[in-house]
Amino acid sequence: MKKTIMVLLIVSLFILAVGCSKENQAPEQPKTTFPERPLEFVACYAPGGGHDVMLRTMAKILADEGIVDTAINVVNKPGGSGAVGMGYVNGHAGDGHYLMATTSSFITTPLNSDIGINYKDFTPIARLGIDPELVLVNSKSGYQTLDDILKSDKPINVGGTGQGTIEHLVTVRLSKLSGKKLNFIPYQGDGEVIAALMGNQIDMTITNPNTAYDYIKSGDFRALAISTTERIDLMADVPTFRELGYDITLSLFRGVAAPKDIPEEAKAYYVDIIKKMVETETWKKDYLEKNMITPGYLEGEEYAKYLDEMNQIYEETLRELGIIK
Amino acid sequence: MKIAERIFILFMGVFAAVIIKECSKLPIGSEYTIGPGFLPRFIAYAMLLISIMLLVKSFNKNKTDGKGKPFIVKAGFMRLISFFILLLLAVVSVDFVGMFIPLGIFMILIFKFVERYSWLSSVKVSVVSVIVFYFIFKVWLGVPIPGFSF
Amino acid sequence: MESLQGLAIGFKEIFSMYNMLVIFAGSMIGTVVGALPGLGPSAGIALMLPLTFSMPVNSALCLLVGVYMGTMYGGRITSILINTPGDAPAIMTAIDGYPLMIQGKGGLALGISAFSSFAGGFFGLLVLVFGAPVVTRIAVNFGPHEYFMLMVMGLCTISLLAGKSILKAIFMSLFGFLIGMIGSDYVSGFVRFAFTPELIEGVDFVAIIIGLYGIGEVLINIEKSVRLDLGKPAFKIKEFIPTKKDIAATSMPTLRGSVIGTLIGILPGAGGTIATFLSYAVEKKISKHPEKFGNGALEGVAAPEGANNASVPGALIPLVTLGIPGSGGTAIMLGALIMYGLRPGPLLMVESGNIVWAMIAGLIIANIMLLFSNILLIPVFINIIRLVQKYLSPIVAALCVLGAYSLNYGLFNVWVILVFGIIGYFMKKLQYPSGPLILSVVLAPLTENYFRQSLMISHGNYGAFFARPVSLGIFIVIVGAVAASIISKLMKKSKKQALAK
Repeated sequence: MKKTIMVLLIVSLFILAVGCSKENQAPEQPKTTFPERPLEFVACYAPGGGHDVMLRTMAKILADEGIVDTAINVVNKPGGSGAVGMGYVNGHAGDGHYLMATTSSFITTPLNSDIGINYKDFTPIARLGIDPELVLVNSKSGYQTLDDILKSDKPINVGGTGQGTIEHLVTVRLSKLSGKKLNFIPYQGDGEVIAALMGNQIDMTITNPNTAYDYIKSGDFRALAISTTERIDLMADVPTFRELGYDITLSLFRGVAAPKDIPEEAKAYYVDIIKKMVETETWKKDYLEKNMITPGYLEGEEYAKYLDEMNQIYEETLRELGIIK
Repeated sequence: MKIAERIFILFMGVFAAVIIKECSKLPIGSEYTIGPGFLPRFIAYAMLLISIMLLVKSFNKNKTDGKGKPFIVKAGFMRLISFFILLLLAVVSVDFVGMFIPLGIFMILIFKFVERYSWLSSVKVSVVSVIVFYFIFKVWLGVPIPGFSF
Repeated sequence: MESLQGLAIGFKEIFSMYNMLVIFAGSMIGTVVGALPGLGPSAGIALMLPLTFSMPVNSALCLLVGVYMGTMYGGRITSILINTPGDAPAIMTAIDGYPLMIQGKGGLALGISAFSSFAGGFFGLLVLVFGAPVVTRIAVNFGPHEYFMLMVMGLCTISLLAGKSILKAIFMSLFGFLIGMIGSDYVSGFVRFAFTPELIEGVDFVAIIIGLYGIGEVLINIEKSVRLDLGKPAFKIKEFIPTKKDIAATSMPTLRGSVIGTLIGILPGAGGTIATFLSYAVEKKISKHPEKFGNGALEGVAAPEGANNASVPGALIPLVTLGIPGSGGTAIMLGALIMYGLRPGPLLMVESGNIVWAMIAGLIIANIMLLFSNILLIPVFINIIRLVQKYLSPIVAALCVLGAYSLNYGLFNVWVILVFGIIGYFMKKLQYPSGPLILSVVLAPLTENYFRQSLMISHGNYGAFFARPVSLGIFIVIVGAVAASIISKLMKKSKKQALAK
């Protein structure tokens, strides 16, 4: 008997504890001033990843430069190639205190798998920068220009990180525009691609300046084209695809988005602080230069339009490749 | 023993069958090589085949192993099931009260009712373990485990 | 000669009381972190990173390499003490280490494995110091064809882990293959079998290991009311310092393990895992008393530990020569180097050679310190377990839950360990082997991907596997090993028949 009472007591303790914490989480009444509590920046990847680095740098600059005086917490919701983080932020629809980092997985993950939400379920705030794509060959190979490759008789193996990625999309476009068959070999991560090009396992690769820069500087690799609209300062001697006659301007993007249906006030607040932030010297120095990201600021509606465009390109290509139906 | 083995094999067989069904969405081939659906399909069929073989074997094998020997005795089963259910309860309540309190209560209950130690030593060991875990994981290593964030 | 000069500079750079303390602290922290299930080198380094920002670069690197090396020593501790390996390479250590623990020789197992770890680490460091450029040149020429053959070689060890029924072993490895294929498949771009969004990234094999071994073992012990009986806490040096005889018996296995670890372990990806499985297989094959393996053979603890630690410095070779991380732990190191303002890549040795040599010197010192600190820590670990031996099962379960949560900071992996805990419980009771399952989970995606990449590179030509010298060489080794084992089995059979007559 004594035991039964004890068990009951403990079970009721469990229930009580659960009940108490529920009460604390009761939704707060909307007020007129935003923000009314600390902001939460959500990284959809683990600490150390691209999302995490960007949001932590942002949080630091926003606080150090006095742009935001509310506390900012950066939280990681990794898993499912961004799906877990997207689900988490979407769960706070209407609440402006959440801001999520967005990269291409923001578009590709919903396309590739059935997670029930997509980029349209969020409020785009701004695009902060882009990661252009480079065509890279081993210096020991004979290829001096892009046309050397595209006009060679030999079948060309192109290395990149996974099918359906931006690198793959660039390859597919290039193949279509030039009429040369390019055989895309997917690798896992930039490191494997670099090693494969070093060992001449592949003929060329499509990758980002950040990955390629040192190998170009050391003379191991040669860059033949870049996917920006104009040449970039970092590699002024690399021609753009457009200059070479191929209309390809696909890049990885880095931006931020909030949950859907947030108050206008919150949206205006974010656009305002982020605009201030991208103009600071520390942002240029500590984020863009350090991570070799090309500036490419787009605001609100423009960013939304850009996302639509990217979504269309991805969807079309993935459908052509048979990855989605 | 045999019934438990059959259940286990059936479970594995069902898993293989689910994979086979899911594979119908994946192409078998691609331009130069096997497609994403080829290997899983091949392996799932092989697994289904072996599960049938094992199942048949479990019916006509000689009496040598395990015949008559029960898979689990009742007392053992009760210990096992209460342990597992309490662990499940603890994990489910993590979302509401964090991780440390449920794990502590879980340990106390197991010590007291499954392992049959005295209240005093049950509570003592549980509280000390939780505090040690708290300091190692949360304070020292800084892992963002829910519960007690101050 | 150049290497020795570099090394001398490296030692000069870091030789100070402060740095020695930092390395010591780092290696102790690493040992403990590595011992916790679910936390490995990546987590250890990531968690220590914020601490290092206020330090000079050399000291910061000393701390990190200490932690990195320490986690490799720590991985064996929970394998031996509570049969819960923290990472795939540590599984082999559990197979013989835990039986030794139950027999009351846990201290000896920890002592022997500490010596083996030291020897393996020493071997790997020799290669890192003198052979880095050569190894890089060779490794870069390894393409998907060669890696595929290596994976096949790794999968062949399944037959050695099979236990009584080969059919059950194949069944389990097929199951492992399917589990390993869950998630997004970068080669085809498809997402396979993602029943929940978390599965898009696949099932973390560390969670599977914690479930199968940790939770599975706990469930068995709870059902049978098993309690360890290791006696009262005591500090007898005799217990954990191996005798001359033990060292003599394990020195050759350690050496062989170290060589295998250096050769195969330095390959990126699953190199370390395959090396430990292979070295265990080799020892079991050539041993005079193979029946002892699985029931507490010292060689079975020594060889895989040697192989595991020999692979550690090897994983750093592509990092320092090319800026390409060879494992999860080195990927975080790469991030750390960038944060300290270095640019890992082909120019790292040219631009910041001194720092790289300082890092290598730090590794050498850490390896020596770890040998001593690990031997000194053995009584602490053994006595902690003795103190709570009656209470072990729920404590281990709680530790597994916390460890699984720390894998990805979420409850998903906790559910994974619970599911695999039940599966592991049934597997143990029904005598289905768990080694083949884990090996398949780890190797399945790699095998499939290398196979497909190979065919894509050679435009669908299967002959390429045999046209490339290295891949052909590995293939011949595999065929030879399989043939040899079949012949030896037949010989034994005919001998038995002859005897019977």
